[in-house]
Amino acid sequence: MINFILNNKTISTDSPLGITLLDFIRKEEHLTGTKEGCREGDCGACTILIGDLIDNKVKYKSANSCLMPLGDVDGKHVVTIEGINQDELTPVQEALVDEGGTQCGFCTPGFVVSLTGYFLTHEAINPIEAIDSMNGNICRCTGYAGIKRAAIKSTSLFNGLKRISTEDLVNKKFLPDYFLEIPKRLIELQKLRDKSKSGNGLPDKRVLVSGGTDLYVQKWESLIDEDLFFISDVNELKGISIEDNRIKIGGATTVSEIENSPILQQYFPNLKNDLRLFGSIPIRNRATIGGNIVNASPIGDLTNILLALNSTLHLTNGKSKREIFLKDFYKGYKTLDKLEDEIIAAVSFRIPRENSFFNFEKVSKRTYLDIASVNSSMYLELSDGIIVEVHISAGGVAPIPLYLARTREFLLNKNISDEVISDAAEIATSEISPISDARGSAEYKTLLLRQLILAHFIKLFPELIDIGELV
Amino acid sequence: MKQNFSIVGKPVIREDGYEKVTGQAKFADDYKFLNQLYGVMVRVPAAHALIKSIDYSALKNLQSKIFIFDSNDVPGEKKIGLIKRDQPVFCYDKIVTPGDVVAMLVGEDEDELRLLARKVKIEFEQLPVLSDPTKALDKNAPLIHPEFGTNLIVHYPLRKGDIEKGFAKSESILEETYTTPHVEHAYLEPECVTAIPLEGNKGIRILGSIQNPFSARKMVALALNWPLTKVRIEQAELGGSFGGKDDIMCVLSARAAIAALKTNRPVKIKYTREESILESYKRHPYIMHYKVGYNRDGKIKAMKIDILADGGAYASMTPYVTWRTVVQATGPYEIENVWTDVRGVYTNNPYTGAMRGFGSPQPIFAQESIMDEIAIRLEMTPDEIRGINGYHAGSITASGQKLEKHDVNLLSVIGTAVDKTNFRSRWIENKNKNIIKIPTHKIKNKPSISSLILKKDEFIEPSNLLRKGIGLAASFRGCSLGAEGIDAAASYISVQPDGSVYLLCGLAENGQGMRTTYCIIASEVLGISPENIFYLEHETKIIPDSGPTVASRSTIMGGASVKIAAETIRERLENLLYLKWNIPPHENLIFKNNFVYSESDSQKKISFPELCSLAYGQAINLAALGWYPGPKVHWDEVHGQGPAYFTYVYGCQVAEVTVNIGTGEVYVDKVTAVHDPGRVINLLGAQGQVYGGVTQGAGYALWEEVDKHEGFVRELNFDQYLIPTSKEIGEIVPIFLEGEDIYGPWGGKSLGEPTLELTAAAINNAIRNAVGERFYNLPINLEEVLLKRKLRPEDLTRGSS
Repeated sequence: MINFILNNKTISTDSPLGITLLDFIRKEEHLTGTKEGCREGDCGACTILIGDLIDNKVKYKSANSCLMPLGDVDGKHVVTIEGINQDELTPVQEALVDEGGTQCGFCTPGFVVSLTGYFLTHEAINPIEAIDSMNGNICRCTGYAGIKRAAIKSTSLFNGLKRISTEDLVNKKFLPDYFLEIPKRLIELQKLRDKSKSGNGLPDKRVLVSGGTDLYVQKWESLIDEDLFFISDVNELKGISIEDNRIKIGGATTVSEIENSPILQQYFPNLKNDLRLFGSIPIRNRATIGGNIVNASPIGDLTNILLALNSTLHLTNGKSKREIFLKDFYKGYKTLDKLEDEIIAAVSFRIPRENSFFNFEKVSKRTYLDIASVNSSMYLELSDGIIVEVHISAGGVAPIPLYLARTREFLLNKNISDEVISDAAEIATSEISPISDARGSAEYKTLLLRQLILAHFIKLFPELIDIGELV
Repeated sequence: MKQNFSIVGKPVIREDGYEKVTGQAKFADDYKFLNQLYGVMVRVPAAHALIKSIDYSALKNLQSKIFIFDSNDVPGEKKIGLIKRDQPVFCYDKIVTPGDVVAMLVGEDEDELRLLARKVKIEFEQLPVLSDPTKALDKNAPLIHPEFGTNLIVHYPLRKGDIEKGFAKSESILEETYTTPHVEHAYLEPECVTAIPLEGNKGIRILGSIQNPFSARKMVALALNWPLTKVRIEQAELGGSFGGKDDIMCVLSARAAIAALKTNRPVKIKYTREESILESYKRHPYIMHYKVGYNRDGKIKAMKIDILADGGAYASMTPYVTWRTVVQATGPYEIENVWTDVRGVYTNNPYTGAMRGFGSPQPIFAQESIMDEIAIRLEMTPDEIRGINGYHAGSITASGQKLEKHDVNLLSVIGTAVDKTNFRSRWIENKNKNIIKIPTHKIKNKPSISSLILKKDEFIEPSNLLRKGIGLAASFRGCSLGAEGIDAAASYISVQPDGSVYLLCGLAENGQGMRTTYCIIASEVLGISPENIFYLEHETKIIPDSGPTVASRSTIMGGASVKIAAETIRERLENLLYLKWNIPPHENLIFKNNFVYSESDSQKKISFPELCSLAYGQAINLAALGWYPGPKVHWDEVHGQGPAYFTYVYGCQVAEVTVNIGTGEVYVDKVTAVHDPGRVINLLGAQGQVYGGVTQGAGYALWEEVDKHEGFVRELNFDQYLIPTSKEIGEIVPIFLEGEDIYGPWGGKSLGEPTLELTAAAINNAIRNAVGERFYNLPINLEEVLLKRKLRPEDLTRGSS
């Protein structure tokens, strides 16, 4: 039995915890404004908002209900389009109508939810971010022009306002007033939560679900009747901290949390921008760093970044702990150096030293919301112009997320020069074993990796390189 | 002729906006019926196979009651089809493409049915698979439908002038081949339909995501062997179609109807995205050879065109799609000598049919690319070469039709597009920058990887990595169906005693905003606000068959019928007022702002509701049916000559791109779309068509492709079938040049398809301008730009692996 609030209604249900929230909403609650378009988190027609109680305040985020197991909303507030509707259209809805932001209308509720969610999750409002908030929603009719205008128009209602609160949103009719009571109601609801399901170590033999953003794409049908354990509820596995000169990220930390972490922004100012190429906002809100690592996709963006930071994994089975370098974790295609009962408690890497540089490159067929053809990250430390430390990763060019060991060896203790870079790129292409697949032929990927290695240096050291000399 | 409109041409918000932004609009899967069952399909894992036997024994002794339907349960025609009856409701002797369905399981639990469907054992014998359309007409090619004795679906010749003499007189000749891929409509709503048996002998009600209710009615009646009257099709709110919810919905409606009648319970079929992409039809891939003879002065003397269209497993709309191609294949250029052959053939690939553009985006991609190539060879700009050859009033088309009785605005739309974008100087400037060549790699059969690595001397300076390009494309397009079909539309209007109005047209709302357009037209005639008009749900039982909602014919045909219906009512009201006010007939009465008054005597004034009430009191009929038959058109099948369409629209788009020649990435920075759609009825809706069409066209240019491997489709969902997101395409600028026409409502014609058909060609020309290389195959994705070839992997794995 789980309890949660769906829009303004408290729900207690014995439905299987593994069914998707989308099916629960549509089939059991008969709320049909949430649509099923792809069932894999690519179209956004099923977008909902999840409100979670953190320090007695409710924090909302958007999510794809098709990839979200019902069990994961225990004690939370779930908002569908019906929970946003009021007697009159909200400013977001009105702007979409006035600006021609809806045609066939199938994707429209998802856009309304995403954009409304933007106001609910951001204190400072700006039009570009508002448009960005809909990057997980696909529309085939409108060409997005009217939708973008509507986003800009809705933000204009908050011009000059530095911070907006739920009260402001209720006053301006963006949200119905029941939202004001949600914190109180969630506090009550959380008292009902079954404590055995979270904390206190790990359960045996249960199927672990982290963000579910790939697991539920691959096999949602088979998860319905499984005994699931939801890692995202385990607070010990969350958070970003600095310990012993290392940045430590809990295994259940989401990509959005990483994106918005002040610690990471301080040391990796470009990371937020890099992660804009990682899925969509609703996916980033759910996908976790541990899931990304264990999923072992050769083309994962986070693993690619973490490899170049020479990260260490902290594994635990609840009783004992163990550490291993991420670059040693992958043994073969989807084969891990991990015991069945082990989970990733955290990932850590050294705080970048002074005179260090980091860069991430990704090329995909479609720039946004697409899996990379090839990605690559590089971390590099310089001392008196000499490379004293360097780690380079390459994704999509081997059965595993690849750490380019030979390229590193070659670059160590060298000056950055046109010759060295060019040779490094050649060496990198000799370390890989790409296959031809949907995202590119082996030949193309090889070419691309070389280009990305060069791009690292061109971006980081434009003044040190005279590419013209290479000609 | 300048007209003073109250509302026509202004931006009007959608009449269904409220329901759509609140999520209350009910799409097909949002309906649930008491005792409803689900239908789930059983397929064969093959592209071409004889069905030996089907073993359902795994479905015996189940706790839940499962009904099984296959071809034996089809009471009427086993094979249906809108043009050619070649598509089985359920396949019986053989399957001809992997989407084919041999049986349907019906029961209460959809998820259980999906598991059970995998347990049905089908014994089949693989047949040779024909997936290359160029081999379809070979003597030893496997026959997809042996009963026809050939894989040729259709062949349209067009002969004008003397082609050989034309080439002989030409100073230069250019020959090129272009190809385009299968493309998925990618409507956001997957297919869904429910059939509900009606009590007694009343027939069946079918409610679904159906683009063309009258087509579905015809096909269901055929499969049931019933009169049309007993099949009642209702359109649910349609979550996008773009031509895609026609044949597939006919078949699904028939399957649902058969099961519903047998079980006497409502039966719903709802497709997942994967099933949708697997079974539904696609845009035709084309292989297009063009041979063009031209002179130094830029005049094109002769054009020989040979086009092969992959029709896939079933004929579907191939005969009509390819007919539009043959009419328009030369593009909007007056050429003395033309020799065109367009053939459509069967293969084991997914079947192909109607999709927004309908046989025009493909030849436009080829012909507009070639026009630029000729311009470049003659050191002309793209607009110059088009100015020399482009249609003007009185021009004779390839099919011998004289363009008259409407503004032939081709050169105006090109001129406007060129001026607004400062096209000429930018095109020349970009072209002159293309001194450094994009590194090319000669791909042999099996290249070694090392041979593909850029050599040091091939390295490109970072400042040269990003190249800017600008390109244009222009087209003419025949409005409505042309000589491909019977062309007429009906509208029903019923004014109530309080002045509120019911309106319904026999054409169907597919999301494009047609209902709003019709409300505007009726409002304009009756002088009332569109809010006073209540648009009725589309049901085949209450409105005459108006043909399919295709060919950008909603405004020109349906709109004209709405205008006729509204004018009929207005005339009756006017007659009443002539008597009441004792004024001579034909004195001008003004219908405006919900009032009616005499132009000469403003004292004679009555509110619209009062007038309606008065009319009811006098037993005047305030309901009317408007009927608009299309003007006569004609086609000579042997020579491909005749007045193919009764009127045309013109458009020109300019695309601006940035190409990263290191990675092959292409960014669309801006598209300026200048169109003459005739009279614009709803400015907001018209602009929406442009934004949407251009964006789809950009997807067609750069990413969209359904690849098939021995008939099997790889891109079954949106992780692999990539359509543009909100962040992909830069600014789109719609500009309308409203040409006059005697047809359609106040000259309102067509826009939906012209917006899409030009974009890929314009982008290709812009890429050419940016990198100095011509690309011949869509989509122009990363690998095409960098390596000039299409990816054809054997690997069919999916997911983020």
